[in-house]
Amino acid sequence: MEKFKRVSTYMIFVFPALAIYLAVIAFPIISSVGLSFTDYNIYKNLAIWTGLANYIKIFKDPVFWFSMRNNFFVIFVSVFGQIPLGFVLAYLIYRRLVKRSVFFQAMVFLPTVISTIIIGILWSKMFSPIGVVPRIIQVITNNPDYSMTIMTNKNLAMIPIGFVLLWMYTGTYLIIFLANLQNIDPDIIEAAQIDGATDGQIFRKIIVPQLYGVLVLTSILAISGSLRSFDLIFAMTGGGPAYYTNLLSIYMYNQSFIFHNYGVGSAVSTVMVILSIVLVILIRLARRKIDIMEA
Amino acid sequence: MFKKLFCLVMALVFVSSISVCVFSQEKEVELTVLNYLDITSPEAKAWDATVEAFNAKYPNITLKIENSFGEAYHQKLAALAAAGDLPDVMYLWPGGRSAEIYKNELTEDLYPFLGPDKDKFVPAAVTPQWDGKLYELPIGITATHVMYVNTKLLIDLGLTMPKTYGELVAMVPKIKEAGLYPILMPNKAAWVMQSCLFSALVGRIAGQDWLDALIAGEASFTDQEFVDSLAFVKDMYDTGLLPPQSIQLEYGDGPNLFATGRSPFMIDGDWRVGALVPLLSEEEQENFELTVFPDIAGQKGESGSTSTVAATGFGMKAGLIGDKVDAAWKWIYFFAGPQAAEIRLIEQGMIPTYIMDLSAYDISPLAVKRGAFYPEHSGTYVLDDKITGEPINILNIGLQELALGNTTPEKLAAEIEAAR
Repeated sequence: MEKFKRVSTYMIFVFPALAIYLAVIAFPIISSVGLSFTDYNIYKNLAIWTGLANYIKIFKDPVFWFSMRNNFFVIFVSVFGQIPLGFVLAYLIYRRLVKRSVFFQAMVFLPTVISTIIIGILWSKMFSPIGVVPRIIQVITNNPDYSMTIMTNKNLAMIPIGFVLLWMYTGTYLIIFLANLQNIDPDIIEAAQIDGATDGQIFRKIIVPQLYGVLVLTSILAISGSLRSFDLIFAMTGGGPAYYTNLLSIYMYNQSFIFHNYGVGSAVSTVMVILSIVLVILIRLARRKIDIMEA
Repeated sequence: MFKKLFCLVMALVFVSSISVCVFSQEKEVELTVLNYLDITSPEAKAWDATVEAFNAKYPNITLKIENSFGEAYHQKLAALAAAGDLPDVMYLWPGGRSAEIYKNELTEDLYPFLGPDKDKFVPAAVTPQWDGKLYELPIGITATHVMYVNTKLLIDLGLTMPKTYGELVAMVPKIKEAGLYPILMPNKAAWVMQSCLFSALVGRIAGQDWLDALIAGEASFTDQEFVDSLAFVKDMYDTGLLPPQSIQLEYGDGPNLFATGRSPFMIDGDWRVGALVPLLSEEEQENFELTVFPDIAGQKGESGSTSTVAATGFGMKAGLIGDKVDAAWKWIYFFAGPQAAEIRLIEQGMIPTYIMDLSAYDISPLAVKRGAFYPEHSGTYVLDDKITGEPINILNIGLQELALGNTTPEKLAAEIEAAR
């Protein structure tokens, strides 16, 4: 009886959250997977079973693969750019290796509190042929005809976006790392210094091992954030010129809301979910391997 | 007895006066409006004046307006339609971009509402738009291709109006030497090239007969006429007429750059008169002309033709009931009718579809030139009005790839045909 009471109490407390989760997360994901096997007319609420046709269509589309390539670029910038940079900056501030560290910290964190759409439009204006960035280069190089052709280069168009991603999101990781660095007992570092450890040794042998868990967490955050990345790039380039800065999310959006191919859009979203799960599993496996090696 | 009768009469007077008060007051109605407007553009002034005039005329109708512009508008409308949450009235196109809405019968046919008032509009504006129905009441006839010319700048450069494409290309070195764009056509947004230039080029190079055959399914995108039209766009980039920066410039940048003399030519739609007028004094406007792309060697279409389409207007959500229907129609008719047309005529120089005596108005010189533009230039189709879905999107994106040298006219034509 006592056990039943306890379980029913748990159920009462858990039910609202569980119901919301099922309604707004689980149900849309499951129905989206279902839709990906149909040709769905949302206006008439009519779904015709097409099997794997939508998946075959996207796998044959070079724009899909190009979008996936761009997504991997965003993941690369996030995992190997934002996280290490955020970590290093947090370490510099934590060890007070820079003066006016509070100001420095505020400046790095500032972009994360500005609306993503505003940042997208802002950088789009700055990189425009009549914007401030080409103008500065025109003055420096004394070439009045200079324009940023990198933005129209099929293979390089993502690089300016990568720069903006670094500028915008590094602050988030800086705050996460700084908060975790402050949890490290300063006595350990002091003891290491007394034992004659250099700054580099302290960093490699004390700081990094203590933050393995945070590194894995931030990597997962970076990967999942990168895969669903949409707003900044959509506001900045709209996926253009042509499809050179398309991401999977923009490709999915175009398929769903411009071409009205909701089945195809759902297929893309299913691929994104699978990709996200695979990458997170890989990171967890990597961490386990590191833990075994450390032990 | 008299007292009783007096009380009865007084009671009747009281009840009837209350009834008159109650029934004479029109019911308050709230109307949700999804409008196509860049609120930072100079055109916003005319919109505000229109809304103000409507509010004064119909104080019982409250407009709950949401503004959106460009691709964002089309995507929002599609999302709202998909969610079954369309606004009461919405800005619509006669075909192409609004086709999904019409195909799925999400808006009302306006012919029954228009009734005999149909004769008050120019016939071309109130022809059926989809399946024999009129889904939006057009506010004008739109020429999506206009070549704006800064004649003073042209004279200052020692140049004259080009009559042929060859003459236009020959001007490039001199214009570039002066540090200017040969032709200003900001087309970062993919629809601009197709709508404001390519449609007119196809009409000119391939001709109206070929376009009719294409729409009837008797011609193919891989036909030489269409491939030549694509190759022509590529040539405009190769010759430097369209600078590579064009593809990086925001659509909204055009009027300011043109008004400040950054190029002797600007290619855009006729609606840009509305954005240029506030940027130029009346004297300065005398130095600007509206014309079309010069003749192209071997063109099959008519010389001096442009691409035209019955313009946009408001449509009504299907299934509205009660007072909402009346309020929605009042707004739709008001927006296309004489009072709003007068505001747009004065503020933007937009020639209305509502038949009215234009000589009575004191309008800006550029607006007068806009009025004179239409009878001088015959119209061919705007492609995104006649072709829908994936082919038009492949064309829009492909025109950008073509400009960047990453595809060929033949390959692009084949891709469009395959998606048909």
